[in-house]
Amino acid sequence: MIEWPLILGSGMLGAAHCLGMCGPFALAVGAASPTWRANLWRQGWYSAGRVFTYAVLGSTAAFGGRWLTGRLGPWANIPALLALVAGGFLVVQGLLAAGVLPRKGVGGIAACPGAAAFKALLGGRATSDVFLAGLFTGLLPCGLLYGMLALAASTGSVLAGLATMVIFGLGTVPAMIAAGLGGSVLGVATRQRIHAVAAWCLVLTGVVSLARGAGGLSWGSEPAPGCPFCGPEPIQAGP
Amino acid sequence: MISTRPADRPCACHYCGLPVVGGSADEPRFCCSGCRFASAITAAGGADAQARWMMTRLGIAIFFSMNVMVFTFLLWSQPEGEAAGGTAAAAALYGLARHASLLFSAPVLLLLGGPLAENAVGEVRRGRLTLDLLLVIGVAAAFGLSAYATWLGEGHVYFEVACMVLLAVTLGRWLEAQGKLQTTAALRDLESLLPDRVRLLTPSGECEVALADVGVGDRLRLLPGEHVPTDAVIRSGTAAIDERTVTGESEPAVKGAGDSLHSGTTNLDGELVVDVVAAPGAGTLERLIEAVSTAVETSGSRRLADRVAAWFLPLVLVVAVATAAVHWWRSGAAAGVLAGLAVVVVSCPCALGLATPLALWAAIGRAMRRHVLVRDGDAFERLARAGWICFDKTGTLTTGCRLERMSATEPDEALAMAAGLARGSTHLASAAIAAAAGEQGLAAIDLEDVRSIPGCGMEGRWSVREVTVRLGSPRWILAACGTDQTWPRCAESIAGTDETAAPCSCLLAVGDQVVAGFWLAEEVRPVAAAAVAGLQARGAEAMLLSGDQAARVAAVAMRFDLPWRAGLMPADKLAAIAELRGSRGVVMVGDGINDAPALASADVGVALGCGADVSRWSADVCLLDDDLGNLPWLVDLARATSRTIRWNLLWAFGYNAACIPLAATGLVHPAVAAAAMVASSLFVVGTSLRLANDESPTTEPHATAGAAAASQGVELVA
Repeated sequence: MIEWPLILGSGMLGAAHCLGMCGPFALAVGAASPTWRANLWRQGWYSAGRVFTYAVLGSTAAFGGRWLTGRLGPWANIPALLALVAGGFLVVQGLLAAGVLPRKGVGGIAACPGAAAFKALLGGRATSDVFLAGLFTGLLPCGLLYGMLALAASTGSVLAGLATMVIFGLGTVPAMIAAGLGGSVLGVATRQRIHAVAAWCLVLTGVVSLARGAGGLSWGSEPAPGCPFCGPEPIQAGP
Repeated sequence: MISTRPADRPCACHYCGLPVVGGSADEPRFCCSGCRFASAITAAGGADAQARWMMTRLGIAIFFSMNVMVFTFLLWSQPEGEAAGGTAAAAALYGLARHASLLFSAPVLLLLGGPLAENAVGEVRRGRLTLDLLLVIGVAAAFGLSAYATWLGEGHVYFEVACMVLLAVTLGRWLEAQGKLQTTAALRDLESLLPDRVRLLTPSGECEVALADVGVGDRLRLLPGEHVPTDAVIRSGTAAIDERTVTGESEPAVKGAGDSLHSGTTNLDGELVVDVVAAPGAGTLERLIEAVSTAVETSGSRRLADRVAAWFLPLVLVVAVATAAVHWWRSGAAAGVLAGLAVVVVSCPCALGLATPLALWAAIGRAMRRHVLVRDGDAFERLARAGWICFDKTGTLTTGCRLERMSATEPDEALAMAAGLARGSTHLASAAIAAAAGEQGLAAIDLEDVRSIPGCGMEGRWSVREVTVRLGSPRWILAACGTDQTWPRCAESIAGTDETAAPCSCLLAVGDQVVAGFWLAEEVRPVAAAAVAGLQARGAEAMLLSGDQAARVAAVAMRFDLPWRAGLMPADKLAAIAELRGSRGVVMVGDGINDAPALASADVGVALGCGADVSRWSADVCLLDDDLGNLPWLVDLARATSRTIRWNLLWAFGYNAACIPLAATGLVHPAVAAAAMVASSLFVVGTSLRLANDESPTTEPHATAGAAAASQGVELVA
């Protein structure tokens, strides 16, 4: 798919946006480790947890998209519509990040009974704790993530959706690890510049998705063939 | 969890404090598996490693379940009929996905199914059948069928059902337990006032022992800042004691040798040696906590929910088994298991069992934070629909009196004589007269056989002249002395209060001769006006019921713009309440001791000045800090509580009535059923939590209290 390099880029550069929310978590993960090597190990597992969740969410979204296609296929080209939704979402997210659209203040995370457990996992000694902390971090609400999930939903194939989110997740890894290792690898000015590039990268991904969606919007046309396992026929949603 | 033996002895859940049926002292009991699970996660002190393990266990189960989900999506994406005829690579991938699902769901079964099965088996051993048992059987059956299909290499697999049901049930119950924990937090805050360990003084020295090991007669040492562990009498030492938690009194009381201490109060600044007079668990605070706990237990809607729950479990059992049998017969084993499991999973006994107690706990806890103690859960319901709020005057709307003026031929002797009678009474007028004598440096004249005549005054014998001396209401005094007396000129009004033309407040008679008249000024409680106005704004009608003279009652009533009845003897108050009682009920607000009969006979009795001994309270509600400003707030809270209970019950009945038949049709996937059940429980917990934490039913009495007090000042009624 043409978007994949762009998705990777969005992840890599978009992570500058992620650091606002997830950066402190990465720091908390690293706080317990005595050496930078140990920290790197923990950061790696933390990111692995996140990417794992993204992958599951991606496959879920893709299955959802596929299910919708199966149900509504005769009436509408669902993948194309989803690609349009994803594109729109990503463009808006990109423009927000670039500062072209005004950003509304973000409310605090609602008090959640699991918060204490999450905190304990972040500082946990065991590698499994850090991995699980990453797994739950992946579930935190994030606009960028939703945009990517919409994109995954539009792929129409569980494996492609999964791949989309894994690629996006891998893209976020370097910045998150850097943040967890000490954060100050890049200066503020550099980070701002990267942030701006990332924002436009998002917009570009969105535009490509929009174009793909618009191209597929010829009513009744054959949905684009995906991987060998997900043929173009309508699919039954489970037993 | 609903027990099949609701008549068992109630005790509290080890985790959230909600009542559990059929407990024993030697092992911790939990009201649901969620509490058991949450308790294991948060267990502190030594059990830390285990807590970690429980948490990791949940996390790993989530991880494996997520994997199973991905494989399931992959399997569900399999185009029909292509599995056999598709490419070899595709067939291999689907086979792999089935085996991977088996591999990944097995740990989930062990990690989450284990505790659930343990719980179910434990209940079976106690002779109780629970839905958990069906849940475990259903999940095991779904897993077993799928494993068999995987081994055969054909047929559908339902590994995701086993994982999702277990995960949803565990997570849902955990969250539910957290919610319950929050609703009962207020009570635990109170319990935390009792220390775990105390300093026991023995002939051989001082040692630290557990509070439970202390007995009546033991001697303890209390340091500054420590809480009083149980009711005790001070042996030596002096200290300021903060009794706010028990009596609501905000000013610390200075106590010394011989004074008694209530459990749960705080020793602020002195070192004390005390003798224990109540066994731990029988102290003032514990009795208070017990009174509140009983409030929930005895609630009528709670009993209704219990009755329903008693037949709910057998009903679900029957429906689930019947559903499984019918679907098995019509569409095979897998369909039977899935449909039966869906019925068990979707049914929500939690919502039924929790609908009332959770809301009541939340409301009672919330009230307790404002020093309003509710002893009867049903009082909220009655308070919510009460049409009349009746106030007592003295000590309720007014706080006290002072002697404004007196008229006598021998003022000093008359005042000293009056003080001799007045010191035997706690009535506000008596207190004012005794205080005035004290201020003028007059020693009270000693009298014999001083006794109080309810609703009339005091009388005693003056041995010097062998006559009866009386101090009390002019009506009583004049009747006792003969009505022809005109002394003193009672109709004479005091300048500035001409509209009341108030007669004197009380008379003193020696023998059958009236010797003095006293005019008392009454002080209006600062927030009373705001409270009355707030209640009227909420649609309740207020009335003043007083045993005092008409003119004085009228004067106070006029300040509050209230209808009034005066000169009521205790029995008259009961009659007045009975007369007012229509379909909406009467609330009586009065003094906890003097108005006890009226408080007890009203639909809701709200008492001020209840004192520390909860067993002597006659009212349903007690304003511990005597703050009338809490009344409108309490009515709001009662209405919100009543609304919440109705909504919760409606939801619980509606949800179960709608979802169980739907699940019985076999149309609901068990994973969806699990999600619905969790949502239902969380709805009930959520509405109750909102009641516990939401600040919306509030009023502004405290903001306006200052202004109201400034505008009223001292009310002259004599």
